[in-house]
Amino acid sequence: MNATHDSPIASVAVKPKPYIHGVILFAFCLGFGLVMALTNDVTLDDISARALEDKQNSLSQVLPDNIHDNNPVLDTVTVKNEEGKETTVYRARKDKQVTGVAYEIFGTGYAGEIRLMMGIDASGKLLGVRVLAHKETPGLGDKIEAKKSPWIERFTGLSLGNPSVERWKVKKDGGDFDQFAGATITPRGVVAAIRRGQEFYAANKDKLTGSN
Amino acid sequence: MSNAENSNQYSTIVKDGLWDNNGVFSMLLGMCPTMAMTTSATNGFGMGLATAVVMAASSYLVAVFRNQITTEVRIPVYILIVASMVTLVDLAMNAWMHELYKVLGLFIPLIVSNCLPLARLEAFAAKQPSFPALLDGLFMGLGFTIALTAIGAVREIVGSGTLFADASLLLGNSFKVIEMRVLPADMGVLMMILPPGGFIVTGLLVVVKRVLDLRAGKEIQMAGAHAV
Amino acid sequence: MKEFAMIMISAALVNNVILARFLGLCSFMGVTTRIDTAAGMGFATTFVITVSSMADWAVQTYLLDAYGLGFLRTVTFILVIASAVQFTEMTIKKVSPELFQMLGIYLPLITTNCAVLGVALLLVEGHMSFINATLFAFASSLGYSLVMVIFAGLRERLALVQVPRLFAGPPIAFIVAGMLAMAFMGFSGIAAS
Repeated sequence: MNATHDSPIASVAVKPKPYIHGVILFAFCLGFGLVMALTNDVTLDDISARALEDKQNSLSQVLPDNIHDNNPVLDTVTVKNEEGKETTVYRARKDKQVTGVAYEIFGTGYAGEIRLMMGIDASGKLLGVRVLAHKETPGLGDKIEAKKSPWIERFTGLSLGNPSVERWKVKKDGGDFDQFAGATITPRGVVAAIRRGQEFYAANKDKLTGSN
Repeated sequence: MSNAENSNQYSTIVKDGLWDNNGVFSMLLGMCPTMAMTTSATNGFGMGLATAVVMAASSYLVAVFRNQITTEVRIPVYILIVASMVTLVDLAMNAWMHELYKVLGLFIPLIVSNCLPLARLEAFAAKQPSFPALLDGLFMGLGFTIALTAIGAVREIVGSGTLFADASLLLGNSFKVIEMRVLPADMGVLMMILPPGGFIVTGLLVVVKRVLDLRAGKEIQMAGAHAV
Repeated sequence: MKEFAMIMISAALVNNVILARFLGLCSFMGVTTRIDTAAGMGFATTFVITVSSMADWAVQTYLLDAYGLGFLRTVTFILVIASAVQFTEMTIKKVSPELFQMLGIYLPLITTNCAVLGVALLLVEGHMSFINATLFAFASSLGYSLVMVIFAGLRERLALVQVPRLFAGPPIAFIVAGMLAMAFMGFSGIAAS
């Protein structure tokens, strides 16, 4: 600072050349990029371990312990759904017989995609549905989470015939399921996703419950 | 600088950040998360704390590198630093504080789109030594937390009749006691949790701060002029 | 065609960037004291949002997804946006010096407008195709400009009204914005999903 007052000539001489700004920006990008890559590397294993734990937790909520004697996380089969997207299906077995399956389903909510885990038994009855991730408005749309509201438990025990297919909608659309005060789009997306998930099971039943 | 001057400067920074120059109520900065994340007091509090951590870290870093950053590239570098801090907090919490992350995870990337950290970097951290900068970032962040919790509390009480609902998910079970139901469940005015409520409550709380400042014999700030 | 129309209406009106998603509020409060400046800001932002969203879509698809660099998304997008703003500034300066004169002071501010980053993140999260993403970005920014101009019109009137001293300035502006948001909630009936 003081140098500029003392000698203007010196300040002209040290005036940075234009390219120096590029160099500085590049150096910062490189430095912080490295720090982030490093952190990503350090946390990668822990994050995927947490994700696996979460998966195990959510599976145990939609595949009750008493229907299987295997570890469903390890017994998987991959099936393409009607949109050509690959779905990993986790299978619960008792005495080698498939007693139920669980897989991820996707719904369109107010603020983006809602990921859910759905469990269904061999006869096509729902064992349970849980939300894995969503971006819905806190305090409004997040009532789809089991820990914030019992709403999602309403689906357990239902199937495509009970209620009938055309009743698988929120009440506002003439169906059987409650929407939330102030949030219709979120439950509408969840109900549609569960209906599609069951249709997926019906269409692929043989592949999912086959012994291979 | 003598010790007395130092502590004087520090207490000014603390007071400015928490109340006098509050990021939300006085400077009207960081409005986007202020509106979007204050549907409940707990959400506002969580968002505020995460922001405070990012602000303290990035203010410190900018102050450390202040002589290396040229004026021409300062904005991209500041944004880069804030974005990096946000990414680090995001990754670290996901890996090691997973329970907390599941509650807060939603909010963290949004800190990048908050203009308050950037404004403080430009106005304060870029010209100050690292310790005052750290302090400024931290207390501006805490002032932000206070504002968000206050707006969240008003919207939550009027909108859904509860206060600090789900606080135990964020802070642990010992905080279960602060979860309250203030009004009966069906008395809530839903409008307050919806977008219009965010604008209206923020406007009214700015008035409340003006009233309190007048009572204390201070000049009231008529405009939050330097919004970006 | 119907799908495109739905994307446009939903992005511009139903899920309006400012009033429903709370993005770009700094500029919404900061540069809406006069209609012409608000319109100028809206025009410049529309251009930047559309261009940078297209670039961000390409970066996400061909760079971040392809090489598993998802953790760098926030940083890369911000840098892309900063470059898009710079590029816009240079283009406008060359093509139309008069327009540059008019918009000059607003252009650098767009980098820190969270609507730009917000729209880019939204379209990437939505896994949209390139055409849908471009439409979404363009419609979102049109919605942004529309609300900026409407609000500036309201504030021009507001400036002539006697407001209690405690409410003068930002508080009354917030309350008016709340009413505007209420009016826009009327659009939510036509949401497609």
